[in-house]
Amino acid sequence: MSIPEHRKTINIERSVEEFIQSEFVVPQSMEDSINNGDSEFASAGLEKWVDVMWLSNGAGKKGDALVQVDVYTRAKGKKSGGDRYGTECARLAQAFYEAMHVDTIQLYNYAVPASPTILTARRIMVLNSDGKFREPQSPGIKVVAGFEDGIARRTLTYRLLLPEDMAGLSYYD
Amino acid sequence: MLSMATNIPEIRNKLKRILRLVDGGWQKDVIALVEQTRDVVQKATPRSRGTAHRGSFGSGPRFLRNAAMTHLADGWTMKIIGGSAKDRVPIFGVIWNKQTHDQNGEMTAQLPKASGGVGDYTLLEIVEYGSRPHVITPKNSKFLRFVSSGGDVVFTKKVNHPGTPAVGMVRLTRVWMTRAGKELQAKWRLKLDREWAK
Repeated sequence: MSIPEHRKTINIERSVEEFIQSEFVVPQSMEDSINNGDSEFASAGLEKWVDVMWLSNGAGKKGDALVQVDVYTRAKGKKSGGDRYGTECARLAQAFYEAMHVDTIQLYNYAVPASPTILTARRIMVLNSDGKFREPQSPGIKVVAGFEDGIARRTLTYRLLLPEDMAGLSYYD
Repeated sequence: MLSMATNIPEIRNKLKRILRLVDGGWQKDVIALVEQTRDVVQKATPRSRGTAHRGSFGSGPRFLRNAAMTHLADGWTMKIIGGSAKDRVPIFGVIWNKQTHDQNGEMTAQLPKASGGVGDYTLLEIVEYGSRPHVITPKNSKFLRFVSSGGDVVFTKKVNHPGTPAVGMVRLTRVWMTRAGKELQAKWRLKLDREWAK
């Protein structure tokens, strides 16, 4: 028995990533490994960017998905310009929070990646484990140090799940 | 009024039965949930390959000495505060990683920076949230010194750190715990409702 399109990980992940790209316009790296996209941006010398990483993806499989979004800005040296105090990073994180302030995200079928088709009436919910829609999993915006000099970083984590996952076994079995 | 008066002994008996039910298991279930949560976060915390190098870092910074003794995953600890034999006193479960934090959540093993001083994070935050690839260079001396995974002491002028992928074990466990807590609550609500309906 094949899994319905709206429950496939590739469709869920890609739909969310495309939603982020359409709603929140800064250069973005979509990856499950932190190494790939970063080298590309480091060489490009970008001033601000976003990394999206999937910590888990049980959405559509009786579980939920956890996605980590890191907002970065380049702080540069003490005497040069750039986001020295991390205010631009905070502003971007707030803009991202506002872009993700939705109850649900439309799902698409990416069987043909170049021309995705809409999955009618299939949406994934933005719902944290406290039962609050539109809110990140971590209360408020989690601030995490850049871990290395010259980069400001803020991290938001979102929990996503299908209505079927919420219904649990009563839907699946 | 007459109805109230006649119902009071029945209500009192029901409440007594509910008290006996709560005394018999609620607290044990909550403690079991805290223990399970600690096990879940421990399993979700990655372990470095191979065995730790006991004693190799004896004179190094505290986080390295701790890392040498045991894996980060082994540091998860729990403590139950409150409670009583009667089960009716509220209890509070705390889980923390004793290698990097104290039970109040204060960092105890911040990672050192090449420039001297320490960062506002520990190994736990790096494993939880990940870190980007970055270059480490000496700031106050000519060489960097570290001990390789094979136990050799290495001197170098530059290290290209590949970054650390985020694991998110604390956040994943928190989601699991919230779900398990809700299930426990639903189970007890059903038990109490049944007792009340008897």
